[in-house]
Amino acid sequence: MSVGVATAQESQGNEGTRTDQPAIQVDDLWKRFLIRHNSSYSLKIKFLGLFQKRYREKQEEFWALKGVNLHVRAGEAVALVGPNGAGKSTLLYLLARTLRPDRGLIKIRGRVAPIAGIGLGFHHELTGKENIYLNASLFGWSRSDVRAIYDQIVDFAELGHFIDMPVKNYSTGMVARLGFSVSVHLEADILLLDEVFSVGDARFQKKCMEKMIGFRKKGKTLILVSHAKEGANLLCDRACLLWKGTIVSDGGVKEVLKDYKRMTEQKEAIGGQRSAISDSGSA
Amino acid sequence: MKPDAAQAVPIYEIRAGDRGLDLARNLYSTLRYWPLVQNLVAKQLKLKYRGSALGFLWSLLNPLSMVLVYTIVFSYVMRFPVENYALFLVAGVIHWEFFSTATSSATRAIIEDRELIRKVDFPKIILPASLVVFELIQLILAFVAFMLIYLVLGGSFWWGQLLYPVALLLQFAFVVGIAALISAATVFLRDLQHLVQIVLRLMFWLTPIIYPLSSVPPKTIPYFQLNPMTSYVVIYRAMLYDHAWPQAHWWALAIGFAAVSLGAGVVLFSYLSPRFAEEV
Repeated sequence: MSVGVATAQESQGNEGTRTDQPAIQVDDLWKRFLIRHNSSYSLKIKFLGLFQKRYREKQEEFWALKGVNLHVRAGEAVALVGPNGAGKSTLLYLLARTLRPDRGLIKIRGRVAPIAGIGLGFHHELTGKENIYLNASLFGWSRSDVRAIYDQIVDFAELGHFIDMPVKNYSTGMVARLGFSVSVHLEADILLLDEVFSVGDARFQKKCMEKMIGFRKKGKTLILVSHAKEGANLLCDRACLLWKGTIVSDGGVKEVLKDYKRMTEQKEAIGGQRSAISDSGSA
Repeated sequence: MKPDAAQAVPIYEIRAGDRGLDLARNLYSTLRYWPLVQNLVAKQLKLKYRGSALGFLWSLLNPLSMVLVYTIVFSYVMRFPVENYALFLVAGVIHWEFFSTATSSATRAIIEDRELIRKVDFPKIILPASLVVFELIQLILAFVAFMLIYLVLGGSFWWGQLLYPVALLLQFAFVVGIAALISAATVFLRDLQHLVQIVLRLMFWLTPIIYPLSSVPPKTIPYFQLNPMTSYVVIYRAMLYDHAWPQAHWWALAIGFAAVSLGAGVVLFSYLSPRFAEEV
């Protein structure tokens, strides 16, 4: 089967199979987003902008990641924790290679599964079955490759005969289950999980957890973004706290979660003081 | 899929500033995604014909209605002095439709698949390319239907028609290039969706489809030659209607336009595609 598809360079020989090499190596990674005020894809506005200042696009830089360093050994499970906007998802998209870095280097050894989470790119008019084949081929799989694991995907997603119905008729839970099932069955070496503990009901979440513990036993590398602390605790042996675009704490899950709690409390305390001051000022 | 010793672990190295211009490597990895092309083409066929009673016939009815209207207007009302006008028209119209439908749907090729582009890394040029393959299949089906009534319309067979696949291949390369160019540019300039419609309409009347090139003032012919579609239409019509060997300079133009369009399309697409995930 020819499934190992790499768009970047692919190494032959033994170098890649050595397990002491990190599966993920991120060195001084910076990612910038341009926040566009007055942004327009319209030709008219772009043209007017040449003459009138108020139509001109103003760009504000937002550095979502500022010098992130992260080395993950093969077989490690790392939880990325941190408040909203800290850069967790940005880092995940960079590892999935859909976003490009502005500075720094990412080196990945092994195939990376599509980001599992709510709503993989499904076409709503196509049936679940057709979507499975389409999604797997995005990952470079041929029809015969998919056929071999098709039943497992459907069973895991618990879709039964609904699989031949267009996805537009699915419930949110069904779509999420199918998306999760497809991305975990693609047998990648590295799995990226974005808030997967919000997929489906409690029972399905338990099943997901078992599946992921199974992955760990198989020696796969897991990167997990989660707000659910129990998930990180159960599954991961390491956590990284992202705070305003940098990793401020890296180590055992318990210690990092403690740091996270402490920093959140500090921030709230400062925020509380400020509001107290402004309250007294207005009084 | 079983990880065995023979299968090397892929290594990806992503550095800031990579522009994905390594065309040889991209071509290789793109070819390995052939199943994706198959699935995307199948998807479009299913989406287009699912739930419609007439299915593929709808694709024929569009050019057919066009041929009917123009035949009535130009052959009976305006009395255009062209023999076998319906045949003359069909030879141009079906190939124009291939270009025009592919070009106008290319404006949506990237911006409509936002979710896929954000979640998975794959050679994105497959999106416009598979769309052109889909339109090519439509053209081939239309061509087969055309051949079934070819003799009724007064056509006859000629050995020069054996070169039809070559002309088709050249036009295919040309259309792939245009589709890549437009699909990528539309991500950054959404107005193109509307602009393309207008340009296509103008181009239709500036291409000798409903009139022969011989009816335009000889002085203006060099300007007509600037229009890529002129060369393809002239070649198709020479084969299918005039039964004459298309002149060498038309072939040169057809090859030239195909090469320039494909080259420019692929280069611009590779240059812009790393930014798609942020812009769609």
